[in-house]
Amino acid sequence: MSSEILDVLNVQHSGSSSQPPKKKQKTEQKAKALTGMNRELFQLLGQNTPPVAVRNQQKFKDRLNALEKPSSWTWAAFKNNARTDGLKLHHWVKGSKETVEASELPYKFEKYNTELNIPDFTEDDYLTFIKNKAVPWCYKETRYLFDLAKAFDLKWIVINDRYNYEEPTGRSLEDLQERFYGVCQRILIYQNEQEETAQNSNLISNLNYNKHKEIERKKYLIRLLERSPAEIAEEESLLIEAKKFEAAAKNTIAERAQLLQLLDSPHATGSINQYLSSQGLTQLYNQLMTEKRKRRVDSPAPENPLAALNEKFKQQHLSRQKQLQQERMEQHKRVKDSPISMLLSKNLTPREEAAFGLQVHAEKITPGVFLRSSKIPTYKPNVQNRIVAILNELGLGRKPVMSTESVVAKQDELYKTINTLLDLKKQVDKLETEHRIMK
Amino acid sequence: MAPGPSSKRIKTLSICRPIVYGNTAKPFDPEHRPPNAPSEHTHTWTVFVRGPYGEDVSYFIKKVVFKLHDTYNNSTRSIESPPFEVTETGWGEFEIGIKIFFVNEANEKNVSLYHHLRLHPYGLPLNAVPTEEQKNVESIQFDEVVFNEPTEQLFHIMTQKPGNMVPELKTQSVFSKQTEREEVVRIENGIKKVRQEIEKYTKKLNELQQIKGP
Repeated sequence: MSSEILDVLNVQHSGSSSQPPKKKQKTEQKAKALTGMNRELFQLLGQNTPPVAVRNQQKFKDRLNALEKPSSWTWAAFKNNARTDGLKLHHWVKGSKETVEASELPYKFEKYNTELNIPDFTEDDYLTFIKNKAVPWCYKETRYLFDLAKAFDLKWIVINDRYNYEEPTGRSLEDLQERFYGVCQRILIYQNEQEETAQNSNLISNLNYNKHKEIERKKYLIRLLERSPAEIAEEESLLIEAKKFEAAAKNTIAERAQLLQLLDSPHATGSINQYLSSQGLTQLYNQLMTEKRKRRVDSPAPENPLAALNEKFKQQHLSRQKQLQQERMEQHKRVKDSPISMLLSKNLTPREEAAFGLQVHAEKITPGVFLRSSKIPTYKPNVQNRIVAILNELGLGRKPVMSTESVVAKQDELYKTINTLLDLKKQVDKLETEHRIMK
Repeated sequence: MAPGPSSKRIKTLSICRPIVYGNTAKPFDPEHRPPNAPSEHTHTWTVFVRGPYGEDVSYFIKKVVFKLHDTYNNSTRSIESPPFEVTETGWGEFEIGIKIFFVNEANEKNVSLYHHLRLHPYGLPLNAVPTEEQKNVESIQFDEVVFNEPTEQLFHIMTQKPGNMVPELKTQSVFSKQTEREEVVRIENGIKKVRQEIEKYTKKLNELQQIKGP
């Protein structure tokens, strides 16, 4: 198999040729180890050894060796009270014949044969209190419905499915329910009236069946069921959003309440009822007056706050003026001392400035000394080499002969343009190779 | 270092001074070999740092340290007074490390640079026999020392006299304003050529991208 693949792929055989013999040896060794198989049969196998090792010994299930005595079972007849035909059937019951006959238990599954307590009516009843000309139901059909309801234990889906009255009526499930519950209610009401005991009043109110509501409810349920996953996800996210909003709103409300509390005047701790009468008021007045007097003892200076402020301002103004004067003086002195200002006051022409090698920069510069030529940029070695190659092509040196400021600036620009050229070249090369590959 | 207000720096101001560094070399005169030169030596050379027009630079340069090849005796030569130069004999070219120290008032670190010692004429076609004049090799580099935000003291020293005068014409000095202008023009031409190349390649790139696009 592998050799075929190799052939297809045009791969030389030499490498794999050494492998097959090895494999053969292996299988032979394995084959010798196998026992319990016919030699002739084994020879038939040839190289195609089965993928699964053959099990040479078969194992049967262990023999059952139970020492216990088997329990006795009796074949007994039983009566099923759920049946109406009194048919007698037999079944196995645990226990000896005597015990089983002695204790005749009712059939186990009898209890599941229950019947719903559905109100019933006769034709007379129908005519007396059920008949309603506004409803398109006749006695016969109502009877049919009740029979079905009884037969299928009020399983409405089944009833609706099996509903097959003589003339096709096209009644929906809700129609059937409405009719059924309506009739039941009537019967119960009539019975109540007869017996004059309101024991079923609770049930009667429960039997109010609203067909439209039911239809709406089902529609909603169907719609809920038919949502697409995207809609469900959206709904969920919206719910989360809504919760977030609610939480945020709660937070803001709480914060606002706090703020308002802070802004509010302090709440009265006690009730103010005692001060509402004139007597209470005078008492309060007296109290406040005494407190005021006490405070006066503490700070006897009758201060006029406005005057104090004015005084303060005046002082501040004076000190400020003094300070300003001092500063002006100092500045004057400094101007006299400083060599820069001395020089700058001479109003140097640009030419003179150049002669002194002076330059005033607009921005802050890093202090320190450096050589002008050190500002020529350097690049990564391989980039630098390419740049130098291009410089040679252009007939320029790596370093300018005269590294003055303007020359260095130009050199910097040259380096940068060469660098962009190199980048561009790289891009073009890349694209070209891509094209070649695509072709 | 003198502390106090004098070491205060002047903001946003820089001051620069031109210097040149390099070497001159010339082969031995066969008749007058220096008596103490080893037998394999062939050249006399001088490496130096100085003002471009021979002016004094010691008012801002305190000393210059030349680091020669390790095979020289006492290979680190510290020159503490002008002229800042070292004259030696030798047979081979090598990199000389040069460290320039500034006067105390500058309150600056030293600046180091390298110079490749040239003994043989360069830029000549191969097999060309150099003339006697060409045998006197010069390899000189022009540079500027820039003091960013100099101290007030240094500023005072530097402004005693104009020290940045560059002659107008080439005939006055190799390093003149004319040289500078020519240099600028040369570089600008180079930039122009590179720009043309860039344009060419941009077009090519656009074309390639358009082919690739649809």
